[in-house]
Amino acid sequence: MPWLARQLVRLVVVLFCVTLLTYMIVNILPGDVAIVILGNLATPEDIAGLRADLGLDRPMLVRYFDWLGSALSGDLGRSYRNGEPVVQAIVDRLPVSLQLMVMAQVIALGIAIPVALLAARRPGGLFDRISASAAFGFLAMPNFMLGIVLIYLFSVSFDLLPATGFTPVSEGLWDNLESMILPSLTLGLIEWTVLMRVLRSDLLTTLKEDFILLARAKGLPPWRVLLQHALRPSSFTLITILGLNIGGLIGGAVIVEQIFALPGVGRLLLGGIFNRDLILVQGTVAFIAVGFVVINFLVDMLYAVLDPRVRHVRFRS
Amino acid sequence: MSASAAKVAAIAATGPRRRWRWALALPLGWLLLVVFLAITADWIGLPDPSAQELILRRKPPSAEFLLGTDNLGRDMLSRVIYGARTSLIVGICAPILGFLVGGAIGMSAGYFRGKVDTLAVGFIDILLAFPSLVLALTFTAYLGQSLFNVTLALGILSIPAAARVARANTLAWANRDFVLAARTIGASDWRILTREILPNLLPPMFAFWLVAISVIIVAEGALSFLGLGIPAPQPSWGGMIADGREALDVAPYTALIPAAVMFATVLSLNFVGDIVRNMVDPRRSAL
Amino acid sequence: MSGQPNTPLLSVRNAEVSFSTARGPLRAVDGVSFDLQEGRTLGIVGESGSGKSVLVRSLIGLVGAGSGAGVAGQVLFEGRDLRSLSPREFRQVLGTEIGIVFQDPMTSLNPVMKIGRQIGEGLRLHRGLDSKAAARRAVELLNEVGIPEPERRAGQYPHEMSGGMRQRVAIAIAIACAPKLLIADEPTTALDVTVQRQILDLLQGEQRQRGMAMILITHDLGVAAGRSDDIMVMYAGRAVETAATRDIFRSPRMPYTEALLRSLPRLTDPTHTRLSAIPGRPPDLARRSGGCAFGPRCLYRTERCDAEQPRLTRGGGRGYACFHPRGVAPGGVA
Repeated sequence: MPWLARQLVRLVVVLFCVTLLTYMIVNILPGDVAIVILGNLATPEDIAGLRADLGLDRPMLVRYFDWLGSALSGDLGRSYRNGEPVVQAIVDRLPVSLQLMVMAQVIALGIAIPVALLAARRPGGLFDRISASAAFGFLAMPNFMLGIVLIYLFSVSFDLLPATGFTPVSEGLWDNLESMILPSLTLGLIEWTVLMRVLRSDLLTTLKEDFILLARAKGLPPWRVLLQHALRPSSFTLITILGLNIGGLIGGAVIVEQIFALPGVGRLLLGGIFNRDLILVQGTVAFIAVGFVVINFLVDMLYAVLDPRVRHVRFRS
Repeated sequence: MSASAAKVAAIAATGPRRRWRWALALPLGWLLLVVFLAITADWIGLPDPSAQELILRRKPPSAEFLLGTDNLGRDMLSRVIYGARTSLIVGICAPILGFLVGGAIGMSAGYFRGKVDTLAVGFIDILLAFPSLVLALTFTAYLGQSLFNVTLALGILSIPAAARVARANTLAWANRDFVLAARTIGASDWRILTREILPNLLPPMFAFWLVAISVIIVAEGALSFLGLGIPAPQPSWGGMIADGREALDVAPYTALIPAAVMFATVLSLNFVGDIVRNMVDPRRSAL
Repeated sequence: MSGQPNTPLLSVRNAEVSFSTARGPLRAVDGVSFDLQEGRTLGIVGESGSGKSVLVRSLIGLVGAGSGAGVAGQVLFEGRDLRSLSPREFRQVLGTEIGIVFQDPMTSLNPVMKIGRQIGEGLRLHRGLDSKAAARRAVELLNEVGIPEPERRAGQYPHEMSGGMRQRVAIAIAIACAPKLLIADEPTTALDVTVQRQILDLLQGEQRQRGMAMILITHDLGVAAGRSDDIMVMYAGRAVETAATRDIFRSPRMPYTEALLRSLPRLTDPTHTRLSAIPGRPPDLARRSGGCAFGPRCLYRTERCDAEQPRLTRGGGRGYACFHPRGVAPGGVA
């Protein structure tokens, strides 16, 4: 089987297992879901009614395939609280979460790449040591803690940026960015450390290669050698980590959306959990997990674009 | 924890680079202090961490309240120390749980290969297919919030990483001469796994465990911060930071003190973990 | 900007390179001097570790700042002191006047950049060609170095080519800006025996056609034999013998050269003649003794060899560093 087809089959299998596991966690953990939803004071009649409504009287696997069937046709059910279609709720909040993650990633890369390049130019030099210490420090900061510290510094002490709340782009690009700066900084300031370390270490390996010597022998200035010859062959681990870290980024987004009161998917999920909105939670978790798997798959594809050697192996043989 | 810290000190003292000795003193001293206070919290005359005294709310640090009081007039010092106890219990126990299960899975996968390996790797892949925090809060939300359930949820989360470390190291050791020799003299798989391979797995697993502690402490903090971890009023650093967030403008120390304590602890753990990892496996120190 | 008729293209005086290692300073190149005239070929011959590659790389600034190596001595290129140039001027000279081909074409080409771009890069930077013109020129160069279907190949990546092809590409890169000096650092060592000769022929052909000077670094005296005008033999970081190629082969002075020659197979030898190997190993450069570095492996060693280090004595168009030169009456200088 060609490589791409194999990967697609694997993707489908993983997606199947992931949605099944989501369904199981939410459905077979101890406690009657109907009681969880209705609370301890519910009458047995209410509970029985709800169980029938939810189809809980049927075997779980049957219910799962029902759910999967509707999910595939774009229906994740309706919120038990307000009757809003879950898909609609997610679609409404997705742009906020995506903007947060993209901005965080841009900030992280925007710090990590230049710092790694400067550090790799003189390993063991002053800049290298300072940036390594800074990275070590930021890495020890939990995101919820950094978020609070940033609010304290930029909103409470100096009143530069809004502490919480979200302004949509429709009300002005600058206001929108202003409301997103602290949240994305919270994630980006932690994320860059890992990216910088990985890239720096790969750059150091690449800079020892013969083709770097040849590039220097061509009379290329040092920064061109770094940017045009060393950076791209050094970025494969970075891409992998970028993909792997998306899981952490999603978790981070849940926390950051909560801290800064951003109406994103993470906050939707938390609201669902606090409200015991089973169907909403199920749909949101499945959506997040599927998104995560698909993004990782795409990152893996990106390899082939970046590294012609991989492309060669994967697509021609 | 004190035993492992002592072990770290022992390893560090015999390590190749002497200047680590003094560099290690500060983080190690801090960790020992945190562990000591967390263990002896009940006997050193601390006020009840949950006792509310609304008249005394949001008092800044003073001689009477060394670290001040929080929004409900509870003694911050007492809460920080009891919070350390929570963090340490979860941080130490959850990875152990994960390592027992994950280690067994990883060792079997790396040793038996074939179908066992395929199954194990598939299982790990699927657990890893969830963003970990989302999985954790789904677990605790439905299991119910308690110290035990939080530990259980975070323990499950550390299974994949533990399994990977165990599998990779087992793969590396399983073909060594002494293992082949044990096999040729007819040792059982169980005996080879426990007597020949396991002892070689312990150093990398120990180094990884140190790292896992800090990761889990942060994760517990995040869950508690979101209100889905340790149930109130039981003190937890994450919960305290969340409480303090409400009064950031009038009493910023109620958030910043637990934040600083948590930062110092995680930083120290990472520092010690890094050095131990350097000693156990110099190749991986770059990451 | 060509030098006086008698000014050598490249003139090296007392080149030194030392590295600091955990076991103390290591002098990899120790006081080497040589001249290279325009259009001529100098073969630098020595075992691996003799310092020949380090020497040449230090001349063109590829060893030195940043790598923790200490570099000393004077390097004149067309009468200009390379080491006193600004980094910018130096890069200009390096990019346009000097081309280099490395040993292993598997590692010396950038794996993620198309061949054509790698060839055209120097042209765009130093000759001001736009990307289209550089691409056209790259195709011409590929054609010149004997690569079939140059248009298609220019769009390929290194991994899509064989070792011999890649080395041809490396040569195309080296000659792209029409340099006056081509440095070939063991250009055939990593290649299949069958293509070694083709690559050497290509190098020599390009050199003649373009009138370039060439430094051919090799561990194989046989490779240098037919393709260089002069030969410098290096041992343990020092030049131990320099002479016209013909003279080296006819009458080596230095016992080490003699031993190297004896380890070469010759067509005139009867079949099944045993090749002689040089006993012992090259010395540890971090622990030099006061005497001749080759002494411990030398058949003619005396007490003086252990006590004193022979200097390179020149005369009659050649030089050698030995107290007991071969083919010379004892005590006299030929």
